[in-house]
Order: sequence, then C-alpha cells, then structure tokens
Amino acid sequence: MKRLNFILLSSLAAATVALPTIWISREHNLKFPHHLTYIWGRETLLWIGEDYLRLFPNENDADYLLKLLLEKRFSIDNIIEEDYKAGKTLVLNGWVLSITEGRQCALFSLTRTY
Amino acid sequence: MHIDARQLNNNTLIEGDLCIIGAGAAGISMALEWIHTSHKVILLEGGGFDYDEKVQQLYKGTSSGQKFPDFTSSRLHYFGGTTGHWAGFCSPFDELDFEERDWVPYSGWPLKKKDLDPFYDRAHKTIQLGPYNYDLKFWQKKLPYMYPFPLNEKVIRTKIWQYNQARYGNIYKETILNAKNIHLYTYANAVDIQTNDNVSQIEQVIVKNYSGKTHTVKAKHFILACGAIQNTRLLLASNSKAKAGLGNDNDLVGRYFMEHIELNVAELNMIKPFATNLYNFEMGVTKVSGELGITHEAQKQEKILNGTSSVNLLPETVDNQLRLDRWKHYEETESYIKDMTDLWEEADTQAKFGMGAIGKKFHLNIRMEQSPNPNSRVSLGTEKDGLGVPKAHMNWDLTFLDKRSIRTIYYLIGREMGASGLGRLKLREEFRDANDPTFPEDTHGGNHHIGTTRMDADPKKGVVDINCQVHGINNLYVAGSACFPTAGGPNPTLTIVALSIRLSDFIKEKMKW
Repeated sequence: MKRLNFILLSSLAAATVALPTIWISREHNLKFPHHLTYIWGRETLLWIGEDYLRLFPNENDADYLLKLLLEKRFSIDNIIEEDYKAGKTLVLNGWVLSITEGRQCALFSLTRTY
Repeated sequence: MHIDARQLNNNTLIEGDLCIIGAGAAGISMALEWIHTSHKVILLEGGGFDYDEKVQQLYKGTSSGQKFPDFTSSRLHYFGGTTGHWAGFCSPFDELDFEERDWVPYSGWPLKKKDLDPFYDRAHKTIQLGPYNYDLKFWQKKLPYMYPFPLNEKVIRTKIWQYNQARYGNIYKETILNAKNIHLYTYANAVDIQTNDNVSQIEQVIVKNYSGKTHTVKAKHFILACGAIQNTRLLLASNSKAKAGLGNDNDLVGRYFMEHIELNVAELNMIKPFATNLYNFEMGVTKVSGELGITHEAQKQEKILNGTSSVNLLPETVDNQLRLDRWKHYEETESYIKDMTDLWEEADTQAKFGMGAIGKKFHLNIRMEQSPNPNSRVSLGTEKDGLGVPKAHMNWDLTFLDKRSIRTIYYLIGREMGASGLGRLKLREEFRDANDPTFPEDTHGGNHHIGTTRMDADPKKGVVDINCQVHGINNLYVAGSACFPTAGGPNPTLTIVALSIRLSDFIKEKMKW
C-alpha cells in the first residue's frame, strides 16, 4: 500500500471510530448543564428545568429539546456564551440564564432516571 | 466662639452678617469657609454637643406611602449633625447625573459636573479624603489587588468610592470654637423665619429651646442648612406673611423628595474563583473600593436610572473545594449524577470544619437614585413638636421607573456575568416579574434626604436658583441636598459639601456688590 493511501485509510478508520464518540460525548454534554453543577445542586437544576417548561410548554419533549440543542454545531460553552452576548437570556427560578442553559436544565428534568 | 442659648437672657437679640441655620455637614462646611474673614457668622444648632433625646424628638414626624423610617433614626440633632453616624461613602456625581435625560421626568441640573469639579476638590479637603481622583487605573497603582471582574466594559463599569467617616462634631469642634468670628449658638432651634411685607427679604429668625427662652437673630444673609425635611418644615411653617410658606409660591417646597433606594436584590454565584480586593468594604478600615455600575451608554439604551451595586461576600459559602476535587477526577457517566447528593452532603460536612475555599457566593445590594417625583413629598402634619412647630409628614412615593431600573441593572449584571463565564446571578423574588411595580416591604433608603427645594433657573420649576438662593427672596439660601434636582447615582455628602462651599463663594462675592 502506498504511503499516502495508508495515511488516508488510517485517518478514515480513526474518524469512523472517533466521530460517533465525539457525537455521543457532545450529546451527553448537551443533556447535562455541566458547568452549572459547580454552583447548584440537582434540585435547583430540576427547578430551573421545570420553570423553563412552564414558560415554554411547547418544548416539553426530550427529543425536541435535544434537537434544538443540537441545531448549532459549536461547543456548548460557545453556544451559551453567544446566547448571553446576543441577549438570548431569561429569568428561570430567579436565575438570569441563557436559553440554552434553560433547555439543558429542561432536558435534564425530562430525562432524569431517579 | 460658643454660646449656649439656654443661658442667655430671654428675648436676646443676636446679630451678625451671616446666619447659618443648622450645624451639620452643610452648615459647618459653610462656616469653615468664613473663618478669618471680617464677617460675623452666626451658626445656629438646635442641639448641643452630645445626643439629647428630648432635642432629637423634635425631628419626629409622620409618614404615608412607601414605608419610611422614623425621622429620628435617620438624622442626628446635635453639633455635627448626621455626620455623627454616617458611613463616609464619597464619590462625585457622574456627568450623566447633571444631564437632562428624556426618560427621567424632571431630570437635569442647571449645572454641569465641570462647574462643580473645583468645589469637589475643595470638599475633599473638608471631608479629609484622599486625592480628588476616582479613576480605577489611578487607584490600581496605589493599592494592591484592585481587579475588577472582567465584564463587558460597554455595559458594566467600576464606580470608585472613597471613604472617611468624618465626624464633624469631633474634627471641627475646636476649630469652630476657636474661630473668633464664628459664633456658634447651641440649643437655638429656628422656629420661624420672618420677612418683610412683600416677602422679598428675611428680616429675622426666631429661635427657641426647651428652657423656655426665645431669641431673635438678625443678619444680612440667612442660610438654611437643616436637611431636606427640616428645611421644608421651617419654610412651610414660616407662613405669617406668605400663607403657603416661604419660597412656595408655586407649590414646590417639599415636593420631589428623593432617597437613594437601597436593598438586597440579587445573589451572585461564582463558577470560577476570582481574587480581588476591589469590592471589599470594611467600615473604618477601607479607604477606597469599587462597586459595579452600568455605563452611561447602557443607561441611555435601557432608559434606566443611575445606580451601583455592592458585591458582598456571603461567608457561609466557602464549601465547594471538596466537591470540585471529586468531580475533577470522576468518570463522566450518567451514574455520577446519582452520587451528587452524597458529595454535597460530604462537602457540607467539611464546610462545617472550615475546609474548602473555592466556591464563592455574594449578595448584591442596590444603591440607586430615586427618580424625581412631585408626589414624593414632605408637608406639614397636624401635630406640633415640643417647641410649637408643626411636625413634618412624609409621603414617600416610588415609581415604576425606579423598580424597572433596579431590575434592569441586575439583569444586565447577570447577563454579563454569564457572558464572561464568571458566575450566575439570581434575582430576588420581588424583582423577577418585569411588570411588577411594587417594592418589597424591606425597601429602604440610604437615609439620604434629597430634593424638596430643588434647583432650577425657572421659579416655576424650582425653589432655589442656580446659586441656591430661594427664588424671590434675595437673602435666603439653602445649603445641602435639598437643592439637588436629581439624587444622582452616588451618595450625596461630597456633593452637599461641594455645593455648600460654592454657595459660600457666591455670598462672599455678593457681599462685595
């Protein structure tokens, strides 16, 4: 096998393995408002999520929320930062949060397993 | 020179060139400007050198509208006045404070900040503050760790404060007593200001005390320096010639009473630790610190009032180190969420022993101007005080603009905290609904009594003119925050002293005419 072909095939194989992993990891990060856990407990995250669903009952569907969260292809941190900069913010359970964070908490409240 | 008015013979005639009624921050600051001049200054103080409960009760009044504290708790009726218990917060008004803002009814001073700058500089010496400089960069070179939160500078600014709890009663007592041309009369409560028949000139002021003595003070110029509430009471009660009270031809005396609205509005939870000394304040220790403010551009854009937020550490929140350490090494699977509760419990236990110091929580207190409002008003009550003067009645009236501005200030801070990734802000329950005009029960002011004899070049819009002279009465002036057309973002004392010094200069010039 020529050297160039080997490199291309190896890269393709690596990408085949890595991309779903990255995708799963990204989905996981989206589902859970990771950085917010540095300041809040589980209950607060749930209250925020429930408050979001109260304000936006049309988004009360885990698949739909996930779809919304996956719409943009940036990292979740960037999406949240852009939300704040663009004024895409709202007050949930008293907290000034980005819409994406609200959706993350809503998704968390819908997909909790216990 | 000091004279106790209780020891004088009844009906003594006291005469001088200048009569200053009230020996607080405004009155004493003025008197100091006259030391070593050829003019005889009469400085009248209703109390003595120490707290006297009976004299203090002369401030008692009634109130309606938004809950307002007992007047006797917010003012001190003795030599030095309310500087006897002030916190010493000083900062000049912003340029925007002097401007007419189309979203703030009745806003706009007939002065600009540059007009007051030389007097602010002089006021700094009177209050014994540091250099007249409120630039963050200047103080960062002088003091360590003065780091502001890295927030969007187009929206959030740092408002610098200087502090000195200058107790005028202590620091200026000897100076005043030793000044040969300053005649301080204690226990000399002004109860009536008497004019000529056409109410264009003050002829004399009647003073009384609890010893049953009544005296008469004659002077060329009279300055009211009793504070916004007591000035109003005296002007309205002096109605023997002007039935509506002095300076009140246009029903303005007592109106536009303003405070700085102060209360806890939000809490701030930090995601990342941020070490700084900038926001720390310790009474009697801190000389300079900063607060979070909204830039003038953002105020214009949002159509809000001017104010700042303190950033106060909540000491019980240093409990997150353990939690962070555990998470850092934890496998990120769904299952770890289940263990969270256990981790927090463990962290809480550790916190009880004082371990951990990363997580920080702050409570944020607003300090904001109240918008000028004619219905926020001091008037005369039906009862009389111990010396026969009608008591004051306060109707403290806050507006939707006041409420919306506070909420917006914290919404903006919250938004920028989020954008910076520094933390998240939680609004107090009463400030979450953007359409709610009501204020929480614990809303209070900074005990800054402002307005009631507002300054305007037009007598139909203001009680005093640009020089703090009462319109239509050529030898009566008001010194103090009663003259402020708007309350300004910062606390008033520095501006009170600056305006008083300016008034002194004006009267000195006028005496040359």
